Amino acid sequence: MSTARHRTFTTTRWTMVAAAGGAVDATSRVALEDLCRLYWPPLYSYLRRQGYDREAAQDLTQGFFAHLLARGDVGVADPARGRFRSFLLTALKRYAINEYTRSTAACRGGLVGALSLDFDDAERTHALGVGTHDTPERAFDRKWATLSLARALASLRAELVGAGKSDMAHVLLPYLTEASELAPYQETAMRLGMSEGAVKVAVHRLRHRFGAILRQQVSDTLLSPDGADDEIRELIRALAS
Amino acid sequence: MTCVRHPGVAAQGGHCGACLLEIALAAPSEDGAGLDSLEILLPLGSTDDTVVFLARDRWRGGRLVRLKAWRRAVSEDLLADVLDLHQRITALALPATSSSLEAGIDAHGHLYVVSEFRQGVPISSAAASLTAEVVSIAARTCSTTLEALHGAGIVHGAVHGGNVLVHPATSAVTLLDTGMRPLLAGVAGASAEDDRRALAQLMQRLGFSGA
Repeated sequence: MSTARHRTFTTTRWTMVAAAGGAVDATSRVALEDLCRLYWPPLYSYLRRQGYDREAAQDLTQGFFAHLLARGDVGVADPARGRFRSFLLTALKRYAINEYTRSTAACRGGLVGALSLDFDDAERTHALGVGTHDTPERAFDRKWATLSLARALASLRAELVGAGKSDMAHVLLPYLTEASELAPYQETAMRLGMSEGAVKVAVHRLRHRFGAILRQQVSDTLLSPDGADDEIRELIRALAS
Repeated sequence: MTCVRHPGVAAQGGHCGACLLEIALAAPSEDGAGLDSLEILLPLGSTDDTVVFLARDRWRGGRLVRLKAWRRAVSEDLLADVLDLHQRITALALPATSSSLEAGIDAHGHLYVVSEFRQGVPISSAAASLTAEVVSIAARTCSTTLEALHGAGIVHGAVHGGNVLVHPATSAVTLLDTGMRPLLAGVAGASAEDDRRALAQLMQRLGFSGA
């Protein structure tokens, strides 16, 4: 058994951005750009659910990020800083109210290449949700949750493929949850040339690894990883309600 | 695909999104190598086959945990059975059973189980200081817990004074190591009746008549 190790402070990407406060440096700017690049789709979903048409929502999304990245600071006293998710939505709401008219014209001319966003894909996923009773805020949270899950699944799959375990990824990832109509473990074991017990243990370890990946990605959007449990519970509520 | 626990939640890559998030909720804060995340604080006891420690789990927010390790090499098939047992016990959510957090095989091939630490003194050690009321509570708690376990097809297999903890202040009862002995010793004959008999004998030794 290992000897004691002191717990080290974990710096999340959002920590780096928020700690910079009003003083932008290269590290905090890169961190903010990374976060924006990953998490813009929920903003688009929010705007579309608000009633903005496709073009207006695209303009607002692009304009908002140009504004945010140009400013580079997140407001030292902003109470929404605890979570990047909350900060982003609050900032977008303010922007939409105060800046849209003034900034849109400037956006169209100056934003090409600022952030390359795939609006076609975002529009497709928005269309899937049309007709639900989601409020714009609920649409935002749901999209945030599904985006987080998709990223974690993709990361896990990439890890397995990178380790030369493509077959295992293909066969065992469906067992992450107790989805219906899965082949019995015995059958899967024979297919993989493993014992049934070894398959079950492998699935257990995959779940652990998936959970750790998702936790890390969620923690990256918080000021402190200690808030990960609460954030995950909120995302569960967003999906399940 | 419809999730029976979260109906209406859209599928995410073939999975229920809410179920995936629950996996993350149950996961440690970092993907540790099991034992490497533990800081051993003090030994809690040992036998010829096992050793038990109180530990702090760095990757579960520094919480206190109970680490039990067996001095025998086991196969992954057996580990899978242990994981399955723990999952079934956890699903019952019985107040008197502690949650298993992790089970694995260490570098020497030995089985270990990390579980939630519950404060308490083995009832056999505390016998002299226990009131009749506390013993009565312990008997009832163990009886109802065993009934629930048996109803789920789980036999404890090792009901004795060392596996029944009593909290010194609250008298809360915890039943430890449920189902492990039948699995590890391959005790095919262990039955629910054996559990009930063992509990009755334990309580008789503690002066509880069952009235």
